[in-house]
This record gives sequence, C-alpha cells and structure tokens, in this order.
Amino acid sequence: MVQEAGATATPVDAVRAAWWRVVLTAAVLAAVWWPARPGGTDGFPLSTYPMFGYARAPTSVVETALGVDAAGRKHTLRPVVIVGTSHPKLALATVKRAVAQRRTEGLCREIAARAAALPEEERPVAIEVATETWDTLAAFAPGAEPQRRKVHARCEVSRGG
Amino acid sequence: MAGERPLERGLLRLSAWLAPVMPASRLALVRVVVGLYACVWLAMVAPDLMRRSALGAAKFEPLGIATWSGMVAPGVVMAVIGVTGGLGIAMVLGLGHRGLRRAVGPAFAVGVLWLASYRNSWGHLSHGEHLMVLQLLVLAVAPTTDAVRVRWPGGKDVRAGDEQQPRESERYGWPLRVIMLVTVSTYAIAGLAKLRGAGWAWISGEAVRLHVGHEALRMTLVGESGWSLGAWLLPHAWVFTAAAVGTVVLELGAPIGLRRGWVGIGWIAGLWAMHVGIWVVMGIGFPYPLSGVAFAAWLPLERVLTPIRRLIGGRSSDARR
Repeated sequence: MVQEAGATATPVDAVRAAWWRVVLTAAVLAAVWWPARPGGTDGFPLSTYPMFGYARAPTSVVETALGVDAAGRKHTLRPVVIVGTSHPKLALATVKRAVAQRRTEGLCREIAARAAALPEEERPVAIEVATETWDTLAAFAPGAEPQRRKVHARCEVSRGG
Repeated sequence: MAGERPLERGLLRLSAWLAPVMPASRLALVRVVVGLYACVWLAMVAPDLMRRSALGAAKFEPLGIATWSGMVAPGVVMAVIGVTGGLGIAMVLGLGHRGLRRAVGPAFAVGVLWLASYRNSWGHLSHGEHLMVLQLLVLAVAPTTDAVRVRWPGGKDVRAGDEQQPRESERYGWPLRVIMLVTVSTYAIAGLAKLRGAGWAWISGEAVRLHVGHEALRMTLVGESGWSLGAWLLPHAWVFTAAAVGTVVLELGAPIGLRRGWVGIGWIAGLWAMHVGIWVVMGIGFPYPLSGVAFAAWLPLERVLTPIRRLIGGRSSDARR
C-alpha cells in the first residue's frame, strides 16, 4: 500500500501508480465481498454477516440447562455454571452442540460439578439438560410455560460441595 | 495531462478518488485509535480467551487462521497474548527504528487476527471483531508512522529518512479510503444478507420482532434476563417495522457514507445510531462501532493535535515537522 509521493511523478509513473492502486483496492474489496457470493459461507475475518438476516418461525426451540430445586421447580443457571465462562452465547452453543452430538450426560455431569460449588441457598438438587419449545411472542407473558419440553439428561448435584 | 487516452483519464480520476490527499497525521491518528482499541480489546478478552483455551479439544471448532495452527496449549495462547499486547503498544506509540516500525504493524495485526480467530473457534462465531481485524490489516501495511509517534527521550533521531515524506499526500489518503470502502462493504453485505435470507418481507418487521423475542428468551434461559428492552417492546409491532426499514435502508445505503461532507457523516452517524438501537433493544453490543472507532477514518482527527501539542509541549515527532 506504500506509494511514492506524486509531486515528482511523470505521467507514465502516475498511470502506473493508478493501475496499482485500483487493482490492489479491487483485490481487497473482492476478498471482503467473496463470502457474499451465492453459496458463500460465514467465517473469520471474512463474513456473510448473517445476523438476524433470515426469517424465524413463531416458535423458539432452545437447548438449555436448568437447575431443579428440592420442590421440583426449575431455575435458570448462569453461563459460568453451564460452560465455565461468563459468555451467555457460548453457554447456549455448548448445550446445543451437546444435544446435537448426544453428549448431554457428560455435559450434565460437568454442570452438576460446577453447581456443587454454589452457595447452599443457590445450589440446585439436580441439573436437567433440555430442549424447550416456546411461543416466542407469548414467552414473556406472566406465567408463560414452554409448549414442549424434552429432557435429554438429568443428574444429581453433590451436596458435599 | 494533455494527450491522455480516455481510459487513462478515467483511471487517473478513479485513482484520485481512491487516494485523496490527506495529512499524514490523520492516518497516524487512525493507527493510534484503532491500535489502542485493539489493545484494550485484547486486555478485555484475555481472561475469557484463557478460559476457552482450557475447554478441551471436543469443543474446538477451528475458524480462519486458527485452522492452520489447530488447538494449542493454554501457555502458547498466553504467550501470544503477551507478545501481541507488546506489539500493540509499540504500534500505537510508533516505537522502533524505521525498518522495525514497519514490521510492528503487520506482526500486531497477524497476532490479533490469530487470537480473534482462536477465540471464535469454540462453537460460537461473534461478529463483533471482524471489522476491527479488517481495518487493522489495512493499517498494518499502510505508512501510518510517518507522523504522531513517540521518540525516546534524548534518543538519536531515527527519522531522518522520513523527513523527505510530505506532510500531506495521496499515500495517506489511500489507506483511509480503503478502510472506508471495507467498512461500508461490511454493512452492505449485512443488508444484502437480510434480503437474501428473508426477502423483502424482512422489512415488515415481523422477522426482527421474532429475532428479538428469540434472543431475549435465549438469554433469559441462561439467567441473563433484564438485559434489554426487547421483551418489553415485543407487544409493539410498529417499533420493529420502523427498525427493520431503517436497518435495511442504512445498511444497503452504506456506500452513501463515502460521500463527502455532511451527507457522508450523517449516514455514518445513522449507522452508529442503529448499533445503539440494537444494543438497547436486543442487548447485543458491537463495541467497535459503538465506540465510534470503526468510523475514525471519516473524522478529521488531525484537528485534535494542535491542542494536544500545546498541552504536551510538542514532544511528539509530528510536532517537530
């Protein structure tokens, strides 16, 4: 991208420099636009930027892990308990992949081990890895419950921790 | 230039647009701002990066140049973070002998590229770092250290060769224009993706509304409730229609941001406002554009130098020229 200063450039030099500039700029833009071609795939650092760029069904299917208390009530777990980091999307992606790869038993035990270290008042008695189906637009109404719930794995949380 | 053929005339005109004459200090300050942002980003993500590095091979799905390196030991990641951080500080300050300085930018950009690729290699691809890395890669090969750099106190003046460089030149305008073109391209691609994915129905707002509801629900189910206005806005469909129309117009029209003057600046301000809206409604913050750093190439940053020079007494090398 380094060019000679144009103050003393001859016309031939100026045309050569212009070609150089145009071709290099076009090459950079071609690379940036390359994933946007039909059939292009998302990646890093070149991307299709697909965020929210597709139609959604009116129902939301979410794979998640929940804590169950002694009374059988379900409670959400924080990402640090689910995956060991504070990143919520990484927690969701980890559960989703475990469900897809049928590795929910192992993930459930990992989560239970982390949950065992929680303070007594926050500690669930069990962990459930589940797929829940919700009516997306009605999910935040008072008392809303999932339309369907499929539990893939359930494991007890150690009380010693 | 009399006697030019039409092709040459057109080529020179295009080249002049691609490389407007700009002050060396503007490009240098974009280096400082983007480099500083990347250093802060590195410091912020380092703990998370280390935790991810320990997640285990079963969760590793390599992306970008992390595919070439594969999974590495957490100690290696820590070493790369340390070296890249040092390079970043050197890049921001413009430290080093002339030849060394030219190597610092590319080395820092490659370090950030690998770390960001590695961080995105654990099952979730974030789209918050693409533009930072792309702009950093352009700056890495640009003559960004011809102005605004720190000189060792009492050290030998190593800038002799640079004194021949003009204070304003098209060589400083070209990288800035490329950064602008790359930036507006990423927004136009995002706008195109929406129309490709859901067609013109996307602008009815229903798709956005369902996305917002879905994201709010997902976050609630991992204990992150109360993080945005999304759930509260769901009953108000018209808000999402307005947001969808505004988003598509701003993204597909992003090349208007290349226009000079207030039209261009206004469009860029619109894109920034769009990110504020996404943050408030969906709780998804894209820190690079939200901070304004993504749009630094548009701004006459060199104007801040005069008051800064007065403040620090002209210690920067640029002040001596």
